[in-house]
This record gives sequence, structure tokens and C-alpha cells, in this order.
Amino acid sequence: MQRKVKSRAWAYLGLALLLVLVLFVCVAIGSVRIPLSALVKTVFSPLVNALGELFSLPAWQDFGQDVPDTWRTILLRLRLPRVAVAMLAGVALSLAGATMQGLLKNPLADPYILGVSSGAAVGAAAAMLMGLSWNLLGAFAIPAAAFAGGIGSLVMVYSLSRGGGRSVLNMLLAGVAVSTFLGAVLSLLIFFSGQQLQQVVFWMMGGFSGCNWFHFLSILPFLAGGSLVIFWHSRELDALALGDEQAYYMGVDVERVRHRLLWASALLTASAVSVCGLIGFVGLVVPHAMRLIGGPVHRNLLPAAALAGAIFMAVADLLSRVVLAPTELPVGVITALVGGPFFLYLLKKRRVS
Amino acid sequence: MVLLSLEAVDFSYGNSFRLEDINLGVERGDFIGIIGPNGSGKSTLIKLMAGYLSPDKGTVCLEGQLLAKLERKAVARKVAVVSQGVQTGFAFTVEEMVRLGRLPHLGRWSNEGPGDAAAVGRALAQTRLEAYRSRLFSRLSGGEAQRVLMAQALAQEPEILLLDEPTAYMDMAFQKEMFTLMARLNQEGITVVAVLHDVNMASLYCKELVALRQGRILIKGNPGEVITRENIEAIFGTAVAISPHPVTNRPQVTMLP
Repeated sequence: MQRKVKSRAWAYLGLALLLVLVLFVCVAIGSVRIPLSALVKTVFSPLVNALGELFSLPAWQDFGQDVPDTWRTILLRLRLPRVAVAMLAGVALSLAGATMQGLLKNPLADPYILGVSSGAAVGAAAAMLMGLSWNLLGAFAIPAAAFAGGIGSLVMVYSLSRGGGRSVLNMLLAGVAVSTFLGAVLSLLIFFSGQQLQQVVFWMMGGFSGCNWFHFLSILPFLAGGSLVIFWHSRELDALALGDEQAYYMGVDVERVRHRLLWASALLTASAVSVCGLIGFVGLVVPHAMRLIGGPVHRNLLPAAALAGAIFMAVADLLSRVVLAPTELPVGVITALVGGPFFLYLLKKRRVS
Repeated sequence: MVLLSLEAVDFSYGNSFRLEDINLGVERGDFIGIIGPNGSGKSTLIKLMAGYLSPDKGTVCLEGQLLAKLERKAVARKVAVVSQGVQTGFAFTVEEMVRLGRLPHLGRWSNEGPGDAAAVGRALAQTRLEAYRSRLFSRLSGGEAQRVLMAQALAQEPEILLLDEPTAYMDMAFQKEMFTLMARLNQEGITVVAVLHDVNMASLYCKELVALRQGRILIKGNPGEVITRENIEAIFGTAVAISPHPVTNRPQVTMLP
């Protein structure tokens, strides 16, 4: 028992350190070559300068002042927010995936398969076509519209699957049908989009180019709210993974908890989709991988999936902009290229062991 | 004192099956066996008693309060259910499964304490699963899996234990062990209500039997009253002979070829 707890703490620490490392690497690499020393100076200068003020050390007060403003801008206003938004989206999608998998007792569920992503995409696209962009109004309205779309598709899936006693299979099938339908709606929307065509298509391809602190701040509340609800119900998720009836006997108010968790995962999906469009495989692969490594208990799984999701998405974004630099690939291409084979590898490994 | 009571309960699944006019009072310390042919409504009755199904008519009360109105966690601290055929696509270990039984005792953000660990340890010991702690639940045999579900229910530290054919997949030795465990828990003060398909074991261990046929309670009483040739033939519709058990003298059913 004791040993297990210890090794779990090490695993979290390892993931957290890896996250910081990835953050540094992603900020360090880009089309403009900026030496590592400048990065280190830029990151630590506020702290060192403040300490210098406090203890009146002139050398410390000047630390980092030699870094050119353009570099500083590139690092802090272009690269850092982009990586930060990618990490938030990774957290959102992998937590949403983990939650849906627990709810449906099925490791194949994710925001895509249940149609929530497509719903959120239709919502966000509709908002953009109505002329909203990422200004002060749009920063709230686009994620909100995505959320409305995500919830709408969930309600559709939910009521469609109700007929046959709402089995897991029915829900997955309804999800596939709804997401196909919504995919067509999305294509129609794009077809009829006039002036906003470029904005919408660019966003739809899936990616983080152009993401700034504004995007970060506008999705942060959605993400925080959704994650809090999910962490709050981590034990109930374990129980629900044993089926509704068993969960009920263990004291879970099944219908209410399921509704809360579905809303929360729609909120998370919407927050990701509204900034980065449709990026697949993260919600499927990351929780699955973490479950194979650390077991299915959600109190352990959820934090690990959040950290790993952030790392995975940041690395995918990095690859998307360096592999064919200066051209950027859609991030979804990277996640699918890496995620697909990895997923198959995990499946095969599990069958052997 | 009546712990759990069903009064004039009607229930139907669509129009294919119904339970009718069920009146049953479970008192503290009871050990009740529910017997009856397949499809007579035994499992449905357990689900109604646990509140998972709600009656169309009539009331189900826990300690005099309507079960449906009570908070779920509060009910789960008093009533635990060992149901049939729990499956999961996830790789929970036996220990993780049993620890989940502590759910109704834990607050949202609270960690499991020494009391919880002790309850889990006791549950594992009572079901002889200590050596299985790190085995995967999904890889266990049917009988082993049922012991895990029993341990999970025991970890809830309930006052009433409802069981749906707890020995369905067990060999003779494990069946006996399960019945011995139920009897011991009952002696320790836990009220036990079990759906049982083995009438002879029910006769040997239960204090009281309730016989269902076609959704109605046909007879209830102690094993001596319920297990007579006329009753068993009326319940199951097949010819039998009844003889006293050579050691305990409780009535035993023998099939006639």
C-alpha cells in the first residue's frame, strides 16, 4: 500500500516536471532563432529584478534588460500563450474523454464519438458566421456558442438513445449518427459562409496559430468549471464504471451525477473546440494510456490524464509547426498520426499481457 | 422493529411482467430467503427493496420513511446489495473494487482514513480474498467475482444486506462458505434478505422463507411451514418428496424422477 502511494507521487512529479520541460522547449523553438540564454533571462528577469529592487542590488536589477524587445515579445506574447492555450485544450479534451469513457463504461468513448465535438464546432462556427470574432464580445460568445452546440448534440444523442433503454451501445451509435449529421451541417455552414469563410476554415482545420492570452483567459473559466465538477465526482465515476445499477447501490444518485458530468464534459470540449477547432484522438488516447499505466481509479487517473493531455497537445503543436517549417500542419494531423498507431500498440500490448 | 417494509406494492415492466400486491416487512435481525421459479419476480423484488426500481403502486419504506425520498448515500450506508453479473471494461483490481464500497461513507474531497482501510481489510478477510488484492476483477471466475461483490457490499458496513442469487456461480464448498458467512453476519446483527435458487440450502440457513409465484407472494413463514410437499409443488409446479435433513432435521426437497 505505502509503496504504491509513493510511486504514484513520483509519477505525478515526473509528469509535472515533464510538463515544465515541454513548456520550455516549445517556447524555445520557433522560426525566429532566440538563444536559450535570452529565454532564461526573460523568464526569470521579473523575479530577479524584483529581488534586486528589494535588496538594492544593481546587478540584479539590470538582469535580463539586454534582451531585445522583439525577442521578449515573441517569447511572451506569441509563443508562450500559444503553448499555454494548447496545454489548456489538451487538459480539456483528455479530461472530457476520461469522463465520457467512465460514464459509458467504454474505453472507446470520447467527445468525437459522442458527437459533442461536432456540436460544439457547429455552435462556434455559427457564432463566427454571425460576425463574432475574438474580440471582447466574441471571447465570451464563441466558447458559449460552442458550449450550447455541444449540449445540443448531447441532448440529441441522449434522447435518441433513450428508446432502447439507453444502453451504452445505443448511445455510441446515436453519437456516431449525430456527429455525422452535424458534420454535414458544419460543411453547409462553411459552404454558405461569405466573408467569414477564411476565418472559419482556418479555425476548422484545427490548430493554435494566432492564439494569444485573450484566448487563454476566455476559455480558462470554462475549463476550470468543468474540471472542478469532474474532479468533484471522481469516486462516482469509478462507481458508474461498474454500471448504473451497481453505482446506485453504492449511493450514487445516478441520473443527477450523469447529467452533471455530461454537462461538465461538454463544457470542457466546447472550451477546446472554440479555440482550436476539431482535434481528434487526444480525448481517446491520453486517458486510455494513463489508465493502462496507472489503473482505472479516477482519483488517480484524472490528474494524470490532465497533465499528460497538456504535454501531448503541446508537443503535437510543436511538431505541427516545425516538421514542415515554415508551413504549419494542422495539429489534428499530428495527433492522429501519433495517436492512431499508439492506440493500436496499446491495444495489442494489453491483449498480449 | 420493522427496518424495511413493502406495502401493497405493484410493479410492472411494460405489460410483459408484473409483481402484484406485495406486502413484506423485514425486521432487524431477520434472515429471509426468497424462493420461487425462474421469472417469478425474485430479482425484481430485491431491486424494489433497494429502491432501484420504484413501485407503480404502494410504498417501500426504510425505517418508516419512503425510500425514494431518502438521500442515496444515507441509504447506501444502511442497505447494501450484492447483485448479479456486474461487468466493467476497466481493469479494477479486487482491492480497488472493495475500496469503492466505502463511497457512501466518504466526503467529496476527503481521503480514505484508517477506519476505511480497516473496513476494507475486514471485508476482504470475511470473504477470504486477502490473497486476491491485486488480481484483476475482470479476470476472475464467476464465483470469485461474486465474492468480490460481497466484499464490496460488506465494506459499505450496512445494516441490511440484500443479495440476488449470491451463490449462482459457486461450487459446493464456496456455496457452503457463502451461506456460513451470511449466517454469521446475521448473528452479528446484520439483517439478510437473499434471493436463493437452492431451496435446500435456503431451508438449512434461513430463518424465514418467502415464496413467489407469478409475481405474487404465495406463502411466507419459517422453513418448516413453507417447505411442505403441497407448497413446493404449488410453487414450482413439479412433483417432489420432502424429508428431514439427517443432521438438522430441517425439511429437504428431493426431486422425483
